[in-house]
Amino acid sequence: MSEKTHPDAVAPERSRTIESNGAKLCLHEWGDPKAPPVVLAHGMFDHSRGFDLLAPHLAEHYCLIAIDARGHGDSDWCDSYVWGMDVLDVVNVLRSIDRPAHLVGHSKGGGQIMEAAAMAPERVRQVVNMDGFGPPDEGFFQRPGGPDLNALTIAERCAIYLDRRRTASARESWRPYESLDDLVRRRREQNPLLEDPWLSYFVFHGAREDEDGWRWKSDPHIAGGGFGPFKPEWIAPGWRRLQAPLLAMIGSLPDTWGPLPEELLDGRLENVEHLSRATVEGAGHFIHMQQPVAAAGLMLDFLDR
Amino acid sequence: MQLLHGRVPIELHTLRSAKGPSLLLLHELGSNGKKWPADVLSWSGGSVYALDFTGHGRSGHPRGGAYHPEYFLADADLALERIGEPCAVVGAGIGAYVALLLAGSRPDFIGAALLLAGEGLRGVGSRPDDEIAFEGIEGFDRFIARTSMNYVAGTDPLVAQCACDMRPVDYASSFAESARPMLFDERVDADPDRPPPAWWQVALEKNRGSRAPEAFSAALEALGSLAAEA
Repeated sequence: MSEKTHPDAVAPERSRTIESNGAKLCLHEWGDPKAPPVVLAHGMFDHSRGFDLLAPHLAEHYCLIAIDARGHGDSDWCDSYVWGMDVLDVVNVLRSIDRPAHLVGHSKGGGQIMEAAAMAPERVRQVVNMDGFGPPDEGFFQRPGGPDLNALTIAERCAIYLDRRRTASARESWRPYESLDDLVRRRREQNPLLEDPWLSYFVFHGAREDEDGWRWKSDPHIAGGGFGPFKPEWIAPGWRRLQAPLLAMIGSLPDTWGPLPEELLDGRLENVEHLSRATVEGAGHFIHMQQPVAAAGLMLDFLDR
Repeated sequence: MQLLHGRVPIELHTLRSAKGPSLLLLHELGSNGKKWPADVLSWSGGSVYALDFTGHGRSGHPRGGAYHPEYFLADADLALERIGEPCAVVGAGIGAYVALLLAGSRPDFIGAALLLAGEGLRGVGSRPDDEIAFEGIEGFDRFIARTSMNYVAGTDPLVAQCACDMRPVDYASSFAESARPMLFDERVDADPDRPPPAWWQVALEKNRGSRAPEAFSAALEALGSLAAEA
């Protein structure tokens, strides 16, 4: 199938790779390499081409560097995944740039850039987080109709994780779908607010075709999940270490994920010293895909040049 | 024998084959399954198995190097699946922490557990805003380099991430409660300058476990009696 296009999407001008803790990461870039750098980090199961709608509105003033997270997009699949390693990857991308950069992240990527900024304050200027403020107190994984995880002890939930790890090697790749449209339909079930033709474009760049059909590029093992002592209420205390100014952005529409209940988000953000906030009308969780012009406008107002 | 954890081969050494309750040995951070003292062969039960955690000994190094204690736990659980019957477990250092998690999540398969002192036992505290062992990324890198200095040759230096991991008290207590009564190395609370980690103290109370004799051979004998009762 020929390359999918979208009237408002602009493909990256350059791509490069860096090595980070044994994984080759793919970076896509837009804008003058000499312009102030902005590093972008996408969300879980997404990929950096999800910034193709946002990038044209920022590339006139900045050099944009979007990371395909390990296990996603065109970056390497790894043998295990932990949150902290993604954070170290962002820091290693910052280290590959010869001057301090702005950080922009969405969802999981939004949470991770805040930690990267706290870890490497001398390399970070300002931070924009689009709806990446952690799961609600009950977690992301409580599915309607699924087992009530809160009724189980930690040890019992750990046994479920171990059962999954026992079969992890059997799940080498995603099952193929007959057509790209089937993949688009699958993704639409999860993100009903994302509309065609953008969804087709976004899914096309996150999938590849082989002799069996269409499969996601992302590693199925990232879905195997980890297990550990993480608790949602632990997210915010770490933000006290954030020195860079933060623009915290959410959408106005309730979506599959986010935004958090207002009181919960307010409470978490009290830990941030230099805070600006914005709500984008007409956007759900995927602010930069649903309202790229508005999102870019807020960033241009907030970010120094 | 070789097991497969995800895409990574891991090694389970058979130190002795015999009939009776099996023993599974979980080493400390930066060591491997070939480094246990010969005393382990005095095990009063049957076969003795020693695991090389991922990144250690003859086990593979995972591409991308992301380690956490629950990953080692899943290594140990695969060993348990292969052994195929209830067994006793001895863990040292991070292996002791993993033994606690294993005994708590597979109580029907871990008849008895002995938790020993060693590298990786402490982690960096119980909460994310506890005093942590590194400041920023440069400090983290120095910490990894320093921590991995004494590791047995062939160990992936990145396993040192597991020494930067949190060991929360409420988390540990859930595993301690569902595990059968365990034996806790009394040497851990012998040093007044280095009090036992918080998770260790809570696990001891919650589990209604007892302190193991100081000599390893005596502790192993006590473990054998517990395993026989189970």
